[in-house]
Amino acid sequence: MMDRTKAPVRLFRSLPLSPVVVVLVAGLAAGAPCLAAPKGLLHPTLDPRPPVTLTVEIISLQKNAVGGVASLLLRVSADVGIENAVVSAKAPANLFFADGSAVKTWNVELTAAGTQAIPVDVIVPQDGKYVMAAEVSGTARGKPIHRGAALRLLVGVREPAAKVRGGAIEYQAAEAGEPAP
Amino acid sequence: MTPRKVAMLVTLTWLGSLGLTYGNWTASGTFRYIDREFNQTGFTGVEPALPVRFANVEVRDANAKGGGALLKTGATDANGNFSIVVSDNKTRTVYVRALTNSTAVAGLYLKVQSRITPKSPYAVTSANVPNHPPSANVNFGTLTAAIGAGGEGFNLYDTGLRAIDFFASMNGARPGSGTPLTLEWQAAVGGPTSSYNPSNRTIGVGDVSGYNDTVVSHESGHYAYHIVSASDSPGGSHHLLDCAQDLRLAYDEGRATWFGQSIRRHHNLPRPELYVRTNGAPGPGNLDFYFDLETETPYYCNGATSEVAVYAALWDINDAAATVDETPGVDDDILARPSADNWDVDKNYVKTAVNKSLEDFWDGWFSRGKGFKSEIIDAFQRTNVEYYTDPGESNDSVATALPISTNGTSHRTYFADVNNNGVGEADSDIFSFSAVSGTTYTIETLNLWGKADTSLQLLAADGITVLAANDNRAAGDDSSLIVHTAQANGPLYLRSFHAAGLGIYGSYDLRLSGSP
Repeated sequence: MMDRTKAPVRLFRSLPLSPVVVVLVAGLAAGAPCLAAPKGLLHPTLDPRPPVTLTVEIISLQKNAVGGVASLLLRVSADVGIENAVVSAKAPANLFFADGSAVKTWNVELTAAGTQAIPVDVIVPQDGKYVMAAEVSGTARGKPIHRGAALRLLVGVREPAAKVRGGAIEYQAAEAGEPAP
Repeated sequence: MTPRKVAMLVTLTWLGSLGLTYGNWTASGTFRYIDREFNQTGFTGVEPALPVRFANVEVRDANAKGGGALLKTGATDANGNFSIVVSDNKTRTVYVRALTNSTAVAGLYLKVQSRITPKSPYAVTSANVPNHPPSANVNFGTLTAAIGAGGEGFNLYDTGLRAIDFFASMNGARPGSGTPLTLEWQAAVGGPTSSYNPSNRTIGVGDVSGYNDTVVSHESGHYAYHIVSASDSPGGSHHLLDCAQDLRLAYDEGRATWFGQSIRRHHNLPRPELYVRTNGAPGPGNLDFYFDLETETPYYCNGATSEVAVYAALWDINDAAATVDETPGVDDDILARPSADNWDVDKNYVKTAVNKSLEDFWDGWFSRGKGFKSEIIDAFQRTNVEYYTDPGESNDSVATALPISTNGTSHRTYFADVNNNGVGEADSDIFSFSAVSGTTYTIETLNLWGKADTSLQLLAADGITVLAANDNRAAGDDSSLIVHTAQANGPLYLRSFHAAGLGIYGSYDLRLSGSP
C-alpha cells in the first residue's frame, strides 16, 4: 500500500536532481525564512476554453450627423490547426455591412494554427445601441469547434453612468410595489 | 426598581426633554432578480424572476448624507422577503435597497462588487417614500433587479451562494469569516475571461459572464479546493483539446469543473452536465461554446493529462439515473456515490499529496475507504484512465518476465497493486523475446495516455547488462524507441518503466518488430 500523502516514490523520483532543490537548499543555507507547510501553489486560474478564440473590436467610428460607419476587426486565434474554419458576422437590425449585406462569412486559413484578422466596416444609419455578433466554427482534431463573440456598439449614445450612492452601485428596481406608508 | 430600569427611565426622560418622538416602523417587501436560463444553444429566452436570497437590505434616508443615511440593516430570507424594524424619530424620505453582500447574514461571507476602485457592491432600490412619519409601516412590494440594471450582480451573488451551500453540504458548514468569497464583475471591464485569484480569494468574472453561471461555478470550485484542499497546478491558460496537459493542471481544472457542475446537480437545476458560456448579449441564443460532462462532447481526450478526462471521470462517480441530464432515467455507468465522497478524498488525502493529480485522487479514494473498485475502474475507463494492472502482471522481474511476440503490439499499464487494495504502486514491466542473430528489432512505445512517460531498457540474456536504452524518442515526445541488431541467438529482456517526473501511472502500447 502506498500512502500518496507522503509519496516517497514520487518525491524522490522527481526532486533530488532538480535545480529547484539546489535553489531551495542554497536559499536555506543563506538564511532564507522557512517555508510554511505545503498548501500547494497559488497561481491564478483561468476558465476552460476551446482551442480557438474570437474577438470583435471596434477600431474606429466615423460619426455622421446621424449614425456613422464603424470599422471593426474580427480576430480569430487558434492554438491547434483548425480545418474548414469559417468566420461569420451578423449585423443587427437596420445595420448593414459596406457591401449592403446583413450577414458575411469568411473562410479562414487556420490549418497551421495562428491568428487571422478580418477588418470589416458596418454602416450604422441611426444613432443607438447595437450588438454585433460573430462566430467561428470548424473542426479541430476531428472535433467540432465553435466560439461566439459579441460587441456592444454605441453610436451617438452613451451608457448611463452607474449611480454610486452610499457606497453601492444603485439601480432602480424594475417594478416597485405600492408603497403603503 | 433595578439599576437597569432606572437608567432606561433617565434616558427616556432626557430624550423627552429634547422634544424628540421615537417610534418603531417596519419596512417589508420582497427582492427578486431576473435570471437567464440556458442550455447548449445559449440562452433559452426564459427569464424568470428569482428571489434575492440571504442578502443585505438597508433602510435609508434618501436625503441624508454619509452614515446618517443608513437607518437600519437587515437581510432577505430564502424567499427574498425582508421585514426590518426601524427605530426612528422624524418624518423623512425613505427607501430600501438590497445589496450584493452578506454582512447582515449570520455565517455567510460573500460579496459581489465592481472591478474598478473604489470597488462597490451592487444594489437595487425601491422608489423613495416621501414624508414618511416615524411610526408608519411600509410594504415596499416586490422589487426586481433587471438584466443590465443590477440583475447580473444579484445573479452572481446567487450563484456564489449556491456554491457556498454546496460546499456546506459536504463540509458541514459554510466557509468561515477567515475565508470569505468575493466575486468581481463589471460590464465592459476586465475582458471576457474569468479567473480565480487565490491570493485574495476573489473570482474575477469576465465581463460577458454576468449570467454565465457554470463559468463562475467552475471558478468557485477553485475557491473551494483552495480553502479546504490544495493545488499544485501551475495555472495559466489551458484549452479543452489539449490532451497532454500538465498532470497537475488537468486535475485542478477538471475537479473545478466537477465542483461547478455538481453545484447544479445538488440544487436540482436543469441540465447539470452542461457547461455553457455565452457572449453575454441580450436575447436568446448568443452561445460562445458549451461542453457536456456526461457524453464528453464535443471534447474528448484519453487519460489523466486532460481536464476533460478528469471531469468526465469524476462526474461519473456521482451522477445517477436520476440526474436531470439529457437522458433522465438513464446513466452510462453504474456508480452513483455521494459528492461528499469526492470531497473527503480531496480534503483529507489529496491536500497533502505531492504534485496533486488524478493519480492521488485514485489512491485517496481507496485509502479513505470509498470502495466500489470495479465500478470506479469502469467509470474511469470511459476516458481511458486505466488505473489497474494489465494482464501481464506481475512481470516485475527478469524471473517473471512476460514473453512477447517479435512482431506485435500489446496494451500495457504502469500500475501495480501488490496487495490488491486499489491503491497503486509504481510499476516496472519486464518482457522477454527470443532474438535471432542479425535481426534488427524495433522496440517502441506508442499512444501514451495519462502521463505514461515511458522509458525502455533492452537487457542482455543475463538480465543485467543494458544493451540499449531510450527515454524520449525526441524532445517533447515522452514515448520511447530502441532499434537494436541482435548479435546472437537467444533471449533478450525488455524493461519498461515510468520515467522520473510527474506521475507514476499511465498506459501505453508496446510494439516490437523485427526485420532480418
